[in-house]
Amino acid sequence: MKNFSPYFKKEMLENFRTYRLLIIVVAYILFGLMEPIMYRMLPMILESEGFDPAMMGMMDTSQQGLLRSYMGNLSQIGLIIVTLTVMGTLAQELQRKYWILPRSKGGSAATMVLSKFFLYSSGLVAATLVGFMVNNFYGRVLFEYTGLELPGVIQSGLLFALYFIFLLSLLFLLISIIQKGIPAALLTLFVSFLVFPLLNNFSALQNFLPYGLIQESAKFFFDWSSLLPVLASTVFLTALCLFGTIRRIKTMEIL
Amino acid sequence: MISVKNLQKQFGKHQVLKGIDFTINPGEIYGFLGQNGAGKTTTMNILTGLTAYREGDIIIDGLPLQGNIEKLQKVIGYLPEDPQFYPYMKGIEYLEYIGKISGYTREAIDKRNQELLQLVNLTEASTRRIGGYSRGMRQRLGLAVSVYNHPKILFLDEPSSALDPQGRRELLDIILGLKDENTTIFLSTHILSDVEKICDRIAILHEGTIHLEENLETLQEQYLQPIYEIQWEGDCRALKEPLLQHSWVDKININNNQMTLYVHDRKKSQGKLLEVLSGFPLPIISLSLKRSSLEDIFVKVVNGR
Repeated sequence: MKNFSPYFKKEMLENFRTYRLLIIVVAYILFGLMEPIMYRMLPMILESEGFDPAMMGMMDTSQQGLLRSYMGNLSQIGLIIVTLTVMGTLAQELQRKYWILPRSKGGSAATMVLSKFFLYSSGLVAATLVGFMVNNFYGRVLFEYTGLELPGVIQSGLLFALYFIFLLSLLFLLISIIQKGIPAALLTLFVSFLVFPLLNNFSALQNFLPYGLIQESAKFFFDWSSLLPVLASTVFLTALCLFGTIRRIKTMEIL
Repeated sequence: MISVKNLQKQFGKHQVLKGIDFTINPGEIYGFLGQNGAGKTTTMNILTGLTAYREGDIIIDGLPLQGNIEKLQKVIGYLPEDPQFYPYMKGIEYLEYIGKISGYTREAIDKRNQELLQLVNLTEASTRRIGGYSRGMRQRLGLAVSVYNHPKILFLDEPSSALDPQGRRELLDIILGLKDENTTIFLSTHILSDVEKICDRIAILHEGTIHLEENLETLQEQYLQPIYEIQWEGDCRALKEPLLQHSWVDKININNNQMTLYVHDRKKSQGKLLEVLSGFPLPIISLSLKRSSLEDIFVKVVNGR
């Protein structure tokens, strides 16, 4: 891809100076760490507050349970952090017209969008895997081993990250249309929190909604042939969103 | 070098350009004037391949713009009115980024960066983040970016609007230096005195059409006013009456030794004036024909007078 290297290096510099990816990675690790530690401390907290520590029996403290709880947090608070942190990278580029001078020197809209997308996608995959592994490791250290091995954790993390990557492409598309970061981020959250769970009630759509990746990743049992439709549709929709973003920026009227 | 025919552009229902035509010759500094919102920036954005256009033929450096944007972006430079940079980057880092996008090698980038930082007087500030630059410094960095690839054609949109008088003078010198290197310059500015100083030809864009396109000298000749300013060595009030006897004299205003003489027809009066004035016993210190400033011409064209 033409000029990918300077654009990608510029994105890395931007992240190094604005701490965007660092915020995401730290948030993911903290959530991953907090989950088992909180579960471990909960009986003591309950006891000190006069509750019966046996209530803890109602909680799933297996590694699988801890990871599911972690995924729940990530898909809500984590997603809010990701969208609000990442939205600025493209929104500012368009709103403040940072992209005009490089483009007048032969830079392309496609390279600009894809370099951002690859960097944040890689960052999301890395943050998710590290967060999942931290959660699993402390789950094993603090609680009884319940048989969740690293390959399962990684596969689960990859499916989970893929859903976030799709949402990243959706966020980019909405920013290119609205040209404002916050409304685009809120719309992305609206899609993930309300539209997808609603559409997921229709059995005909279940196999094709990217949202299904979240449910599949929480099973820790992977039948890849049955995952194929959701994987294919997610990749297709992600590519479609990116194509739409690039097309929209290319045809954007500069005033 | 640039040929534009019947260029039209519409934003929603508002037609910004209603079919403009102009030609810019190689090595020329072409001043593009117009009121705010006249469509100057839109024209520049179209010519630099940043904005699409609906109708019209544009040929730049012998190639149609349509279908050759990438090729042409290698030979053009563009400085927008308010150039925007990533605030977290340092000046030198930004130039390096532009050098890489322009396809320069490491050594060529280092050499060009030093040349340009010196040219725009930003060598010392180059290691500071651009977020801390003043508007004038950003404008100068923008100029360095626009000429990075040794462009054959340079588009400058209000390049001196954010500069102080010293910076403006330096900018005009840089532009004239580029002209000496045979760079064709398309300049849009509100500062008409700058246009008078450096432009070879000008065009005035008004309400989406070009109302005037002319060589600057010819234009000033065309718009010469039939008014003479004469300074006498002593009190010239006694000369008013004899001068008013001549049929070609319209009106005379006197202020001490200074006389302003209005004539009906400049060409007709030209031969007779000197003959008549030399007949008076009072010596003349100076005599000049009042020239219209570009501002006068601009106002006349825009107001249709």
